[in-house]
Formats: sequence, C-alpha cells, structure tokens
Amino acid sequence: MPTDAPASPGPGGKEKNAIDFFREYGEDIQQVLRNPDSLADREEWGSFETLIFHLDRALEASGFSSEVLLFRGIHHEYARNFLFMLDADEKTGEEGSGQSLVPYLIRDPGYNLFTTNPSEVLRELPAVTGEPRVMVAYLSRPGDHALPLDEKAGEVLYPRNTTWVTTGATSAGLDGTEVTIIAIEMAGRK
Amino acid sequence: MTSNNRLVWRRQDIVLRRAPFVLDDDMKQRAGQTLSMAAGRAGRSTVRE
Repeated sequence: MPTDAPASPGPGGKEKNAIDFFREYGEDIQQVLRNPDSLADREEWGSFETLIFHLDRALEASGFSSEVLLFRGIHHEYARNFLFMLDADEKTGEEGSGQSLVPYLIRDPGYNLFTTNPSEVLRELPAVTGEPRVMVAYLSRPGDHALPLDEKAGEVLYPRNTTWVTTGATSAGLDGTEVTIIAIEMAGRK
Repeated sequence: MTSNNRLVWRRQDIVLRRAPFVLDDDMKQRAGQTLSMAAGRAGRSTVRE
C-alpha cells in the first residue's frame, strides 16, 4: 500500500479518493484496522488516519433509500466453530423455516463489506466435504450509512466497528450446495 | 483487492461474544423476514444456475 493518503482535487474529492483507495488497497486497510499495532509507531500512521477520516466521512454522508438483502460469508476454517458458538444447527429443518438463536454480538474493527449476490460469497467458500458453508444475511434499513463499492459485484460497504447481533438461522440450497444462513441485525457502532 | 477473504470473516477478523440482551419483537420479526427472503434468494440462485 502506498504511504501517501489520497490526493485532494477539490471539495468532496477527498472522500471519493478515499473510496477509490479502498477499492484498490482495501485488504491492506482492513489488515491495519484489525491489527493497528502493525502501523501505529510508523510515520505512515498519520496518512492512514487521514485516509480513515475521509472514508468515515464518506460513509457518514451516505444513506440507503430502500431495503436490500446483503450477504457475507464465514471462512470455511471457522464455520463449524462459529455455528457451535451460536448453538446453531447446520441443518435447520425445511428450507426457509428459521431457527431461533440466543443472540451473539459480532464486531469487526475493519469496515464491513457485503454483497447483494450470495453466489459471490460462495466463490470464497470452498466446498470441503463434511464442512458447513455459512453465510450471514442482513436486510438493510432505509437510511443505513452504506456505500456501493462495486455495483457489478453488488458490493456494499458499511462502517467500521459496526456491531451486529445474530437473530436466527435457516438453511437453503444455493448453486447446488446447502448453505446455513444466519440472520443478523445492526446493534450499534463503537 | 485480490484476496479470497474479501467477503468472508475469518476467526481473527471479528470479536464474537454473547449479547447482554434478548431479542425484541422487532428483531424477531425482521429475523423471520430476512431468513425467508434469504432462503428464497438462495433458491432462485440455484434455479438460475
């Protein structure tokens, strides 16, 4: 990741540049937000804070106008433990019939990226025999602070440090494979 | 971003802990709505493929 924060071509341009910068170097940005000690004592920290300031401002100024169903996956190496922690069944009865869950909170210190297309998530969840494939699903609320990041892939960016709460589970067939879907709701932001 | 973990949470990405509250009626109602829509959406994806 380059050490310079995005340039500022004019009013509003800093936020746009910050979003473009995230599109290009998002994985690096997420890595630092999740592990701030990796950069905290380096001279690039000031530029990084500036970048985050403008990304946060861009998200704060954004807003959804309607309800959209969004998906994100749980890594295949974590999926079984994740379901165990939630006390959620891998197979939750008939498709679409939900299972109630004891609520758990999920918080990512990084930004929260979702997609409207569950098949995009499935691409990142390899089929491993005997291992569950797990996604979370969130039905956005009008007025949510969120930005479309990649319209072709249906990607939507939510603010960092958002806390989500698990509210239920179901199973569904997707692209010929069974997926456990955990419903989540926004529970706050740090 | 080119990582294969763009749209997934790994264990080290998140903090998971028990909520200090129970779900209210609005959350329960939205959970049913979300799961029904998600299952329907997934089902349509299967058909479309």
